[in-house]
Amino acid sequence: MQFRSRFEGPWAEPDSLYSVRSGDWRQMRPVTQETRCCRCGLCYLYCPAGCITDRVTHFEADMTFCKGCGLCAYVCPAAAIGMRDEEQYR
Amino acid sequence: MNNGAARLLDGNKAAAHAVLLCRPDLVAAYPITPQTPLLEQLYKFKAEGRLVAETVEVEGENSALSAAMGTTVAGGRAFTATSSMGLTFMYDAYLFASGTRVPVVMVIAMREQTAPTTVSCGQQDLMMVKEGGWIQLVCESCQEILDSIIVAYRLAEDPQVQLPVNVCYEGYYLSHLSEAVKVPSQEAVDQFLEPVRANGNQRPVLSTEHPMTYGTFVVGDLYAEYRYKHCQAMQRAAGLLDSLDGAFAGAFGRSYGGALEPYRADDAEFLMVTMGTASGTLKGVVDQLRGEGVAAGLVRIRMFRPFPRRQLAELMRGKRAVGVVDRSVSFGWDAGHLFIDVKAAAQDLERRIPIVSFIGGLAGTDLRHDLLEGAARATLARGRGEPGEEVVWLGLE
Repeated sequence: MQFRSRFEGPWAEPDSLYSVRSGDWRQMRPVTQETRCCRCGLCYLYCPAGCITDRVTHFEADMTFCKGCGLCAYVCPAAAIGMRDEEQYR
Repeated sequence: MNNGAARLLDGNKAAAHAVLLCRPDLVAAYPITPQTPLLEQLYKFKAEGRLVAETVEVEGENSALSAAMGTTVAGGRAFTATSSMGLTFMYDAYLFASGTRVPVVMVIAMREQTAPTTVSCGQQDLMMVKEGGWIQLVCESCQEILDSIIVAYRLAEDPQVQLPVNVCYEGYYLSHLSEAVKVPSQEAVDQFLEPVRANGNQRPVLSTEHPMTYGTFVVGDLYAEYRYKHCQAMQRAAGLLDSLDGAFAGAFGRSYGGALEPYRADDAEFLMVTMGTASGTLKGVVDQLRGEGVAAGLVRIRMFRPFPRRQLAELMRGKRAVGVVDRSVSFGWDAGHLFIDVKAAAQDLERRIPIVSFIGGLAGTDLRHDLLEGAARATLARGRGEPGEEVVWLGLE
């Protein structure tokens, strides 16, 4: 039998709380303007999927798991993150 | 061989000695009758400096099992114990432990389930969680309690299994009844558990060096995959228990037969099937009937989950009837729970045979020799073609 998970139980790699590709659910995509990012890390802390990575110049969501909830954009004090229609990227 | 020095211990104390010998990192439990003296003994060990484990005075059973799970997923060894309503109070943690594949060991000192309110013996609490995905062992004696807890850690923590294990024994009849129990040496138990101690470092655990996620959100096919893996692990556990029974006999000189214990079953005309303390009385009944020239036999189920259906069917093959004694009630079937499983296993037989459900011993009522002798004679009569009820309530006229 071909298994999709390499784990024996419902465990996952540390890059996401989800072991499903919740990025498939996304209708809006967070897009960060690197120059506006003030490096506060609030998006990183608030992301419910735990899928945001520190890229040094800014923070970036992993599109495999980002479900487009928009919390990162909502909490960003520098208004560096905008939510764009996912259709544009298909 | 170190089969241990004999001590006079009740079931709870025997369990406490086993836990002490297994060197848990954490004990978290909430007291409930009839399990309470087990905790008292563990805290006594801790006060004496013999039990080197963290103890957590939790506010309820759900927290007790959750704390035990936390220790276990962090790579440690945990123990908890409960009974009856405490078990149902921890039900969501109970399902989380098995579904997340957390190898905790938990004693169930079996008791009736409210309502009607009582604190007396029964097996109804175990039956409330029989489909919860845990491995469930049911003991007949205080010695078997001690031995089963040691085996339970080896079983639970095996990388091929990684499942939580219940060691179950009847309240009062075992929890409060004293017998001579051989307590093995620490060195012998350390040696027996060495294989899982080594593997313990290899199973996936929460650590800051190698972070991972436990308890992920899963949908669809992946969910089915984890369920499939869980079922496969249960079946591997059944095989492993049989081989551990031999390994345990090699180390400690005691053997219980693995998933089930047949007693004078091979050449029997009919079989009685039960779990727990009624087995001892039924062995006496079998001996008595054998003395009269009646080929009676018994099968005691030790591993209730996963259910040893194929081994049981093999033993039932060629018999004329089977009587099942249950200390619990399935309301939907108007029968005992073990009866339902035995009846399902009998589907694998080529020939239909009468299978009779005997319900008795509820709320601590004695399953006396005369009651069980009546059950055995009724089963024999059914096997010889006489009509009779499918469900018999022992002691109710």
